Amino acid sequence: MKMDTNNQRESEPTPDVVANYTSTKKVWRWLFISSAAFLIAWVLFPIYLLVVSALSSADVVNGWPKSFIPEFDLETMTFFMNYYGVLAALKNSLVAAAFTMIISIGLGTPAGYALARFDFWGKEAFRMIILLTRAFPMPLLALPLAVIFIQVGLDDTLFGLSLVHASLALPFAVLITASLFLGIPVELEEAAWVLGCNRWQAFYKVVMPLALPGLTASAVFAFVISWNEVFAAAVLTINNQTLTAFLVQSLSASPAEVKFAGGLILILPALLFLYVVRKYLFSMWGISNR
Amino acid sequence: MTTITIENIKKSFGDADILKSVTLDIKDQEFTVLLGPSGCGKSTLLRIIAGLETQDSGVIKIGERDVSALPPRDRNVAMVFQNYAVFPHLTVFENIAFGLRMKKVSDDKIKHNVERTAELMHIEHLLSRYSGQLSGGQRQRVAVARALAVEPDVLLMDEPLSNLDALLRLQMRSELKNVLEESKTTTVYVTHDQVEAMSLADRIAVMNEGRIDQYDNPDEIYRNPATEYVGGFIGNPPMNFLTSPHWSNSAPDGAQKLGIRPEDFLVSMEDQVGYLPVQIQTIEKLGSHQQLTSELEGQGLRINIASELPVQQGGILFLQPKPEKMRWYDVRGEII
Ligand SMILES: Nc1ncnc2c1ncn2[C@@H]1O[C@H](COP(=O)(O)OP(=O)(O)OP(=O)(O)O)[C@@H](O)[C@H]1O
Ligand SMILES: [Mg+2]
Repeated sequence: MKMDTNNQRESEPTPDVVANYTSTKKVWRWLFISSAAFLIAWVLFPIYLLVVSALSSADVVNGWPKSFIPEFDLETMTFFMNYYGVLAALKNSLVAAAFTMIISIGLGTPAGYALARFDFWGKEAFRMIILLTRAFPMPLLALPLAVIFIQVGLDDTLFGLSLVHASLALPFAVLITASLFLGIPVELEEAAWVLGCNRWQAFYKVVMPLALPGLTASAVFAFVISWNEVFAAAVLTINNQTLTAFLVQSLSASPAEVKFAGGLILILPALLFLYVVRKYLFSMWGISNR
Repeated sequence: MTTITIENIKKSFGDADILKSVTLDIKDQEFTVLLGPSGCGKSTLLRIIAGLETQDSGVIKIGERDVSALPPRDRNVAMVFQNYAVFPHLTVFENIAFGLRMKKVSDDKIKHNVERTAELMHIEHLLSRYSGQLSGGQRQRVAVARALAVEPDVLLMDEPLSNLDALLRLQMRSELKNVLEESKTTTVYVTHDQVEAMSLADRIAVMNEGRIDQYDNPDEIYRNPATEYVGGFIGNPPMNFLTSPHWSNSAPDGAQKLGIRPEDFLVSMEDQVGYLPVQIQTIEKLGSHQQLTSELEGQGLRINIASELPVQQGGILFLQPKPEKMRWYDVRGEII
């Protein structure tokens, strides 16, 4: 009994230690908050400046001192949207991104499922090769690809461009969906088989609904990759330019305020999409937001 | 409601022969338990019956139907998994209805079947919940209800109670027994828990390294273990096996070992004719009886004796096996 009380007293922290402990905790907390604030500012400040500049008149953008409050002058935006070719390029970007999304989900999902569920010969090699496709920089690939596309008649088509973009997005699609499917217990599928499903039915009745959030996230990811891609788009399309290619080529000589307007249009869909699927991206990366 | 015939089933994974020619005849409405240590191939055999795994050779018949090459969905079996495998995106109602919907049963019949099985498993108040809102025990009930709702020919269960706490396990055990008796479904149940096996089974198939050593009712398995392995696996403490003991005069030809259960000794505090002295090493008082670890001619011996006998650690006890309880085993460890 005596021993017990002794032990207890020893393991009880003295007030001094407690104070020390809480103060180190405070320091860590403060460090955490300030680094988070710094990171947020790092990301948000340029976006903020972009928004301010895009929504201000030319005089303000080019004048000095800079204003940090947007005027909500839509003149520049209107000018930009009416600029010849912008709308067509916007549409092209959307179409190419949609194609890319469809191709990479359509091919990536079965590939991811195979990686997750089957043992097949060369599985590890397959995994490596998928990643290797990202080892070659686009500038290196773009010219030979352009030559091949001209030979097979895919040059200057959105479909051809989507193929290239899909090759950029596919590795992610495959690996993301593979880990998604790995996270769904095989027993759920087996239970469905025993209860009367064939493989396909079990997939779309049980696996699909469970994987849908993640599949959506990886689709959006593919969309954003295509939407943001410049190099291949600039080299492979001439008349059917996407917005990025258009901006790079047509706006290099434009005034600053128009560039800002273009930049805003470019990042908007990506931001919007990421916002919509943020929950799934977090869960995909193992961060819970609840 | 049918028989299951398992003939010469063999299965290996790579170099490892997991099932070495398993043969079992399971009767209509019988509750068969596959019992064996971890890794002996119980789940593999069950999954072969379900069609989730393909045998290398051999035949599986359900009733008169050869299902050896059929996919799971065409076998009319139902399975309860160790981790329940309740679909998380469906309500309890839809989980139980899943198999019926696949069979394109009418909505009225589905509603009727779901409610009946839910009632049977006492989960009728949970029908609109999702599996995330259920406890482990409730999930287990949903899994069983889902299996019973399709009115399968054969019900397969792989350690369905092993994830429950001890108390709940006891409760579910007796409940399962009643429910299955009522449903009259031929059942194959996998466990490595011998108490569970003894209390549930009509017949137990004791598996040992990919073979079935004995397939019989629990009493017979306990009283007449077909092999040394079965005797050593079943019973707590297990059967004693003694090499060439003094009591060999009654041994049949070829007998190598005497198998005798701890409770099957005549015990005396004094020397008597036909009794041998053993030295008591440890005494465990268990209330209803005392469990002794002792030594006889250099061989360990476990004995259960009445709790009132005044034994002492290090003391001497005289004993003789009850003649009608002695079992003899040959060189290969098989009963003679
Ligand atoms: N798909 C597989 N590939 C390779 N080996 C396997 C596979 N499935 C099972 N095995 C092996 O087969 C042996 C028997 O497995 P099984 O699951 O049938 O054992 P069990 O008797 O059910 O054991 P437990 O009581 O632990 O569940 C094990 O050694 C296991 O490693
Ligand atoms: Mg098992």
